[in-house]
Amino acid sequence: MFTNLGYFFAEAWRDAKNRPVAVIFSLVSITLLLLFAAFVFAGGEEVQWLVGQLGEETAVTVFLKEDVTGEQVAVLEEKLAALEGVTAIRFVSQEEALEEMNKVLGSHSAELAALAGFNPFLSYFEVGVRPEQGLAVARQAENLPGVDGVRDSRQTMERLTRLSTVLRLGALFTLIFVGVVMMITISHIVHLGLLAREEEMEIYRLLGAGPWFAVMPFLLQGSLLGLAGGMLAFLLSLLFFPLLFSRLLAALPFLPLRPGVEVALAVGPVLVVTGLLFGLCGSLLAQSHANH
Amino acid sequence: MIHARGVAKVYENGTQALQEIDLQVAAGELVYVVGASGAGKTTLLKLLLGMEKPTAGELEVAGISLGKAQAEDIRRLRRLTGAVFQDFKLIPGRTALENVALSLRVLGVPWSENRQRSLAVLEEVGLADRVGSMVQTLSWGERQRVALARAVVREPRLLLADEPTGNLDATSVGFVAAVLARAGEKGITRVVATHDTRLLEMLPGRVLLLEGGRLHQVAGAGRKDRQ
Ligand SMILES: Nc1ncnc2c1ncn2[C@@H]1O[C@H](COP(=O)(O)OP(=O)(O)OP(=O)(O)O)[C@@H](O)[C@H]1O
Ligand SMILES: [Mg+2]
Repeated sequence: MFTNLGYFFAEAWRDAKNRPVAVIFSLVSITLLLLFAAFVFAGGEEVQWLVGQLGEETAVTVFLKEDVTGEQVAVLEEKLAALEGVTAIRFVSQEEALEEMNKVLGSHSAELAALAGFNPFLSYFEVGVRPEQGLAVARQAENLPGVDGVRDSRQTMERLTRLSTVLRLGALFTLIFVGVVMMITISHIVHLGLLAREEEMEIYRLLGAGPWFAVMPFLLQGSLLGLAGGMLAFLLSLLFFPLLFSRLLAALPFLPLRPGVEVALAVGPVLVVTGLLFGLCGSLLAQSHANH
Repeated sequence: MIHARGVAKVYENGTQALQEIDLQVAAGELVYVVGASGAGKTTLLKLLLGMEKPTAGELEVAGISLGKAQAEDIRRLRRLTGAVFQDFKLIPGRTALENVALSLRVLGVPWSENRQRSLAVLEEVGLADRVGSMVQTLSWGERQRVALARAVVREPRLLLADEPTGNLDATSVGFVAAVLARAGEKGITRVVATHDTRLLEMLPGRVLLLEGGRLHQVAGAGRKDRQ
């Protein structure tokens, strides 16, 4: 088996050279399929990362009414501090709020703030809470006098977590879908290769070759096609993700996005392993077809 | 090496190709099977290589019973056999060397040793200057000798040759006779289907006549040819 490994590789290559169009076509489709899977995966990765980022700042933001007085603010601060689960309180005045907003969002602050769901023209309390009490604190704070509204970062988090789960599930299904299509593509090309060699395989058998002798080159070919597709998709995502994510970041500057290269690097191994695995499965499928 | 008792072969279409074949071939022996076209020579060799199953009788080759042989048994038989087919069964698009080397590749012989042995055998059959030629560009007689080289390069225990000199001139018949003789020196049992009297004269052996699917002993009865 192993003494012939070089020969099997040579045969795989030789066969590929004999039908370059078919091989290139399947390589391109495998690469595109995997790249598609990579995009879905990247989305999942990104949101997951976002959740991790936001998770660190479990906080309730308590916005104050516009006409609130300094005295009311002091009373409110006391009441908030007395709530169970509150760990820290920071008052941000209207001016400071505006300043902060401009710092984070740049010149589009007003529109973007609306998009992000809060009003930049109100002063607010940033209330640090223990994660498990965030919701209770938010609910109680809402009913305190002088409070205009409450934004609980946990709600956003929960929504993001749900989105992340959906995306990761989607990525999994995409991967399965891509894998099946890949397997069909590869098994098809391997099957054609085996058919074209029927006469040769009969000769191998007459010389006493085992069933794997004729099939090994095609197993290699299918696996290498998958592997090459995975690596190409990886390279392309290394190329495209930074581009795409810098665009995204330009459009949504307040999103703490993970750098594209990092995402590509995280998704890369999945692509390569998937390519190799389904390539092998595809060629095994073809060979079991051929043997019956 | 070969034990046949009452072996018969009826093809699916009803053709009775062989009947009541009794045959004993000792290890190292040289046996010629002669007979008119359609007498059943190729069929007999096919049975010996497990390409066809006998429809009656008992047939044992190298200790493997071919009536009830599993795929694995037949593979084992073929690995210790070298065969020259009437239609050569060479792989087109490959060189003479690649075709010969395939024989040892199947057996897992490393390439360096394989190459060396394959080149030596090709030289033995007079094709030293053709090793790199694609087999489909070779003449019929050259292809025949490539096929013989592929069969003997593995130094099998049993050599089956179906008309190995059918397309050859006197010189080339000499090459084949020499190869068969050398195989005998190595103790290889040889069954050769032929009507070539030149070969029979150059390298005497036991001659069996197939006539309408029945086997008759003609010459060299019981003699064990070991040259
Ligand atoms: N696969 C087959 N199916 C049906 N009949 C067959 C088959 N192969 C051979 N035969 C028949 O069996 C008989 C013996 O054929 P075989 O090929 O063994 O003859 P042969 O002695 O080798 O002839 P030749 O000298 O022409 O090669 C012939 O009548 C032939 O037509
Ligand atoms: Mg014949």
